[in-house]
Amino acid sequence: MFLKRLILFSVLIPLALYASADAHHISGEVKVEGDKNLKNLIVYLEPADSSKTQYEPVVHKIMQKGRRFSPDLIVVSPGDKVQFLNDEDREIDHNIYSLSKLKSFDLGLGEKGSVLEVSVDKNGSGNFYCSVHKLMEGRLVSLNTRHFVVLEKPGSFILPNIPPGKWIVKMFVSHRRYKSAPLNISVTDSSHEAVELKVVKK
Amino acid sequence: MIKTFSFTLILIALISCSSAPEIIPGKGAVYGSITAESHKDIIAKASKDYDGFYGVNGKVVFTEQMVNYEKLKELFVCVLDPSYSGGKEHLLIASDEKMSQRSLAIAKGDKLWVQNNSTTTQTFFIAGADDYIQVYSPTKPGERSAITVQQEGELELGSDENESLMTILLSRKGLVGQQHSSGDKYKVENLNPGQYKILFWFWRLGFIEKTIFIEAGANIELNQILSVDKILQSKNET
Repeated sequence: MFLKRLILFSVLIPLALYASADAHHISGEVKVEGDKNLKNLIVYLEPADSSKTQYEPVVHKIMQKGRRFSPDLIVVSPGDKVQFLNDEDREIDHNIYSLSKLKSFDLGLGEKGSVLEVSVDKNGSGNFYCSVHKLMEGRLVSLNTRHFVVLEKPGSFILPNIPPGKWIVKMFVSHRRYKSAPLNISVTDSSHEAVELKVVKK
Repeated sequence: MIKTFSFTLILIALISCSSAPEIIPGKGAVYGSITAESHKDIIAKASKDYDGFYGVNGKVVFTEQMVNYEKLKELFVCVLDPSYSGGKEHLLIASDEKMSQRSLAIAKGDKLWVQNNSTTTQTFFIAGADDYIQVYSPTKPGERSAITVQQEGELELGSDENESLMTILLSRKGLVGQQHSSGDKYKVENLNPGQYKILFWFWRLGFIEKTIFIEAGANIELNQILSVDKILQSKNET
């Protein structure tokens, strides 16, 4: 038993070291002025050179069971698609739409079992709704990055697997009373820890 | 039989008269109805004698979880009048749970009072999408405070202390707004001849914007239905 564990660790530890040899992480803490308990703070990285932002498109999925969007906050990048799956267990129809500046769309009638899709082609944010059900409301945030983390509340964060280069750490704060300042970080041969991001009142 | 017919005719005539504004010499008016309704696909499905949740006898049946378009009370008809520079006063009332209105249409330059009927002091603010913000002085329970709105666009009136206190504001220069329930008649009278923009707005749907030409001594009738498909169609046309 002990020998097996020893062999396992002897394989895993070098693998872990190898995996982290090139990619680093950025970690730290988000502090909000007045210790306000803001929800859905998005910490993200954008390359300092904005021309280096081409990503393979990703398809994101949003479920609708129980007349709720799940998740109700989704972070995408330009070029991605968002699929709305009607996974209700009864014959409940939805009509998903957005009239935001990010993307105006009306997906028509979404019956039980249907999958409706919308593509996102630029940065920004906007709300989407179901025109049938009053509590169905969600937010789409399109960022020029794949490196992000959504915080349920202010506190510690970690952005793993960051390739070397110059990055700007930014935050998306949906509460209109608050804002945050971007922070320039250069990732070279080590990780950045104890990065402090401040969210202040406008 | 003849009596009933005559009575009906008189009633129709009276209703027609009451919806069209009186002609004021040298001025004009716009009038009509404002109605909100479900998406056309939902209406179509309900009309097919569908035995599901929405349709009974061809009409959409609204349950508690649904947006009841027939009973919406915060539909706004807004004329953008270049000669109006603001100054009208509005009042919102805050309780511990919510604001008295979910939405309000105002003009830049209007004064917005907030009455704090909650049990704690509230610091209200008005914020837009950019960094500019207007903050009310802290308002104690039972008191009210006011701010002259300086911003335009879709704004949020919120509270530092209580996130459930939130009203969406539509603010435009020269906006003269009226609040109506779905199916109401509206009329905007005493307008000088000229070109105006008119917005029909419901916060969850957005607005339809139309241009009207007011002539002296004439009325324009403009009936508007607000629905997702109609608003999106209008956006695509402009």
